[in-house]
Amino acid sequence: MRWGVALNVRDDMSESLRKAEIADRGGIDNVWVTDFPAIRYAPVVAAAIAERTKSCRIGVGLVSPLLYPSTQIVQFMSTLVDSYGARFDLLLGPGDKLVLASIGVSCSSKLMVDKTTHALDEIKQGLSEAGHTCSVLLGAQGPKMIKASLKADGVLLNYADLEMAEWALNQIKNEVRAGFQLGLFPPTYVGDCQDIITNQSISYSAAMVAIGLSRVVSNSFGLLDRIQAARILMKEHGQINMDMVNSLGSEILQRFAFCGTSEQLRNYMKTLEKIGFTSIVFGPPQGIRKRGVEILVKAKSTYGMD
Amino acid sequence: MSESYEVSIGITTHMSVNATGWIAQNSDSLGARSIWIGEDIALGQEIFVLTAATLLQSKKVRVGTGIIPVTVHNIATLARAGVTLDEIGAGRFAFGLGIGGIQDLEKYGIHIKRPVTELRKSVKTLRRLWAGETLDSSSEKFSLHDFNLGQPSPINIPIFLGVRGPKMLKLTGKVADGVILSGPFDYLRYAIKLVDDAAEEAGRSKNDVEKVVWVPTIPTFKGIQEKVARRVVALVIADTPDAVLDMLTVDREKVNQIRETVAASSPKEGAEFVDDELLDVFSISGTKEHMVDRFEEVASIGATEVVIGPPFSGDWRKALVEIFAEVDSRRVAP
Repeated sequence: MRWGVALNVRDDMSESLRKAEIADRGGIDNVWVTDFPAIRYAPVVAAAIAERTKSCRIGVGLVSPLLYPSTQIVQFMSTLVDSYGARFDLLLGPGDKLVLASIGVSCSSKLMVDKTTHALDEIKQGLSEAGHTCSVLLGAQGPKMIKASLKADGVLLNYADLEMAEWALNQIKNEVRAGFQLGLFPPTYVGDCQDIITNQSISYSAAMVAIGLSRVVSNSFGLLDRIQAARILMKEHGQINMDMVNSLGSEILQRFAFCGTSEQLRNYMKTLEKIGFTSIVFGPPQGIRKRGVEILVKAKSTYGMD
Repeated sequence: MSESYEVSIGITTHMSVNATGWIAQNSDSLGARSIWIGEDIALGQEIFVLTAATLLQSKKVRVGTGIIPVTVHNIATLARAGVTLDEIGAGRFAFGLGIGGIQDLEKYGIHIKRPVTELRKSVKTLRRLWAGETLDSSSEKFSLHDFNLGQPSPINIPIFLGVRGPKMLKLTGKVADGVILSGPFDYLRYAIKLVDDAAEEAGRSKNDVEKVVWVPTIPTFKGIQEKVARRVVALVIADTPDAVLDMLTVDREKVNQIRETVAASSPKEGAEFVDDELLDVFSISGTKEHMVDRFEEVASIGATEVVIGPPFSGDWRKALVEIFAEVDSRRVAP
């Protein structure tokens, strides 16, 4: 099982580098640098991390092909590989519709999926023509994107709940080829998590994923009505707040994040392996604090020893 | 002893990682003031990663984009890349912007009705975002709604504009920290005066605007092939606006022939029509002594910085070392 951590989207460069060094020295396999809506331009942060680390792979993404032409994505991945070696992976996904609209990038949900899958083909081809072998993964949640990921080198599923994760995996499990990376990218908080609602950072992250859940999936798991009120609030306010968190309630939020102790994490990871997952990226808020990265390093160092 | 000026190196995204890496690693010891990086749209290395790598591989030299067309990137990407590169460079990064070369814009189907307005709005928007403002702002090419960078404190990134025409030059004098100029000597004299006058009209000092002159420099004394030089000059001629050509006493028929050939096929074919006179008007070439003489001429009309290269061909590494040494020797001479 490969362990990855997503750095905080608000980190300045020195904080990102410090955390990447801790992860690298501590044996974390992948450090992921999110692009927009992060303020820093991910490929440049990735270059700086490559200068300061030795072993970890560096993930660029999530990157939205709606914001950049495929040629530019191929260019920045190629330049990174040419300059710093074959240590880079790319995670593609449409991105958040609302935040993209704030910078003038607007299109329908259907078109977002179509453009992303089309870009996946172009980018894979472009990288192949340039002679680069970096993995291109697709970030997915809904059935269309999950299916589309079969053309990629792997998928990172935006689920935490084991039942949902297994459901998503079953959509493609029988069709994946050898070497295909099956991964999860859930909001994560490893620590004391008695009441998820009182921990704002994890509850906000979980609520964002829950509200963004596709209608098809919401319906399949009987969650449509229970999420609807939070969706309406999101449309009104434009950004996440406690009203939405309270509207969803802890039972729902728990399904959209891993929130638990190191011991619970160990059990969670073992179950994921049994289901068939080969990698996990611990999403925010785990990478917000330096301590969060250190906790993951410690958890990984003891994982598999029992 | 010549007018005081700095010497810098210009590279483009179309160059190899080996070449750009060598320049980054040796720029400080050569004594370069800056490395300016031109974006060849969609070709070669990605501009922001190359700029980052250049900053990371050097210690003292200023690294600037020279230029990035605002017409091909989302304004939020420009703002975010600026923040990121400024952090990496710790004060060594300069943002060179422009509208883009005529040939490139046509090739990629980019049409802009009011280029001066677009560039003015882009500069203003970037500065406001870096100052920490939340913006609702739009132009022909961008649209921001309730967008900010979430910066805890304002940052100040120097903006240089790569421009040609009179309206653009005036805009630069009014709003920019520097100008990146390219063109024949007579044009440079005219452009620098226009920028200086506009700066003073806007209540600034002419010294508030750095004048960077980047023309093709072709050190033929180190084995560079003249056909490479002619190809570059053909491209420069194709990108030179009529207003600039009108200032020159060159054979206009020949110039038009070159422009048509470049537009119809490529700079390689256009190079066939570049004669010695045009080569001399549109580039700085020859021996290191002659090249440095030309640098001094350019400095005498107000340029604060002269950029060497590209094309980098022949034994260009040795040529760079010798040109910088020649400049240095004249500085210490009594």
